[in-house]
Amino acid sequence: MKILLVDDSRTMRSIQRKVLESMSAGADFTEAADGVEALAAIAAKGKFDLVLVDWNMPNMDGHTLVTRIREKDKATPLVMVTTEAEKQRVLDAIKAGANNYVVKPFTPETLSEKVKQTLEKCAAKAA
Amino acid sequence: MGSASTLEPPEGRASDPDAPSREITLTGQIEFAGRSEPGALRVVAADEVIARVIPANATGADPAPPTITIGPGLRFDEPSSMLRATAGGCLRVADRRVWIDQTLHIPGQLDISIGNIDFPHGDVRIDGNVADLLKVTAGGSIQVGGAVEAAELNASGDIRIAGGILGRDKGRCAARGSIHCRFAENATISSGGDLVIAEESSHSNLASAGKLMIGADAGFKGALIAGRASAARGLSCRVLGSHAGVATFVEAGTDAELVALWASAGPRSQDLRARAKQIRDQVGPLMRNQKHLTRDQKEKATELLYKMDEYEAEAEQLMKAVRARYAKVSPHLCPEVQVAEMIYPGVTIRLRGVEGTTTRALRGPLRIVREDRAGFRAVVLVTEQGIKIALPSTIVPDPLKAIADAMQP
Repeated sequence: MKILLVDDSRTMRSIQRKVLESMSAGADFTEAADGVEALAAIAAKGKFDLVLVDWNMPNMDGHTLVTRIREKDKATPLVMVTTEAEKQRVLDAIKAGANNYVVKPFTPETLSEKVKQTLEKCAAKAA
Repeated sequence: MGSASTLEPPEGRASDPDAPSREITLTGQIEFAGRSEPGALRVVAADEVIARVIPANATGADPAPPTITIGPGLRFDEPSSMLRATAGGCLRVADRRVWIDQTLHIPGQLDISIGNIDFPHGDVRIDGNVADLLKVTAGGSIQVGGAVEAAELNASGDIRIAGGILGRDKGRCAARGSIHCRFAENATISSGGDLVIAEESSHSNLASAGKLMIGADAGFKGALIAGRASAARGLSCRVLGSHAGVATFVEAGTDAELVALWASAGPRSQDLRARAKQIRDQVGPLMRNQKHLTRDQKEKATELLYKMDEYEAEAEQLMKAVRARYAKVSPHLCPEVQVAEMIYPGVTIRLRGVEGTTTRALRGPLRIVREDRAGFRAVVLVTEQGIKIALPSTIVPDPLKAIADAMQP
């Protein structure tokens, strides 16, 4: 499984990686510190099976990144993982094309549960 | 044919050379792989090539071509003409018959001329004594017809020694199953099952995860003199200590392996749980007021929650082995010592958190138990008539209590 982790905090990417490693042994992880790096990774490595995106990042924020990804790719599961908890923000993220939303601070169980839900829903839609 | 071994086939094992149905007879000569010396023990592994069979002369000129009988534990690979072991064991060769025996049999003494034995494939049977400084390791049981001197025996199964163990402070016997011997002197013995000594144990270090029984059968002295003895499921003997008052230490009702597992895992596990709790106490209030947290505080809270999860997972992993051992042994622990005939002064008895020492001789039969009521805790000797004699006792740490507390959810 190819997973892209997009967050300007290295610690946060490390936590997400460890949680997802325990869910999916042998997953191939790519990390990006902002939206620009994320788009470059997608251009270089092709589609990912799962993308986790932070909202507040330098150079290109998560909302813009999600919008840009969805211009060409409607299917890749995208999960927003962010400190932004306001209802309007959540709606904006879903409208932009995010499949699910995780609010920081989160427990490892919450993140794995949301990722699992997202993958199952996207797989059902694709079938 | 390669040289025939002088070792005789044992009786009644699965690889009985007289077992008819699995044997095949080939015509030809046999050329063993590796060295094969008369009388040499050869231990082979499963799938190992043992020999090549050289077919008899095909011209038919010889009216009685030589034959070889291939017994249990071997298979003949016709295309390559190779004989291969189907199971690990001792290669036997006798009377133009070849087979694999999963009992290693030494018909006489085990001494330096044979050397150490490492036989992971099954049982080891030694008819004579085991000499000083030798080592015997068996994947099954070990049986010794004589005595064991200052040697080391390790068995995954049981150990049975017809004679005694004269350890000279160097000899060690360890078995995952039970151990039976006639006597023990200056030896270290540990058993996963019961430890049964017919006559006497003196100046030895005995540890049993089962019962320790000395002199269980009538007619034997049944004395436990000096040294240390512990048994998770209780201890019984006829005579405990000696009239000379030599220090003897006995303990019952504690499982040494459980205590060791706890010693290595328990404190670390408790420390991790304490750290996880500290984080929970710290982050809890923040989680209830998330709206007022800054972005950095939210990220920090996520990091702390992850750390807490890691600590708890590590603590649980450390405790897994402790839990498994506790579940296995705790229902059977018995903090009781039984003395059939006599207990002498100088015997210290430890029973789960309390320790008492005898100051005079007392006739048996006696049951030695722990009494714990209303602020009074002591080691108590109970006579056949029900009279209780409390020994001068001291409270000592009881590792099992800490373990039992840690098992609570």
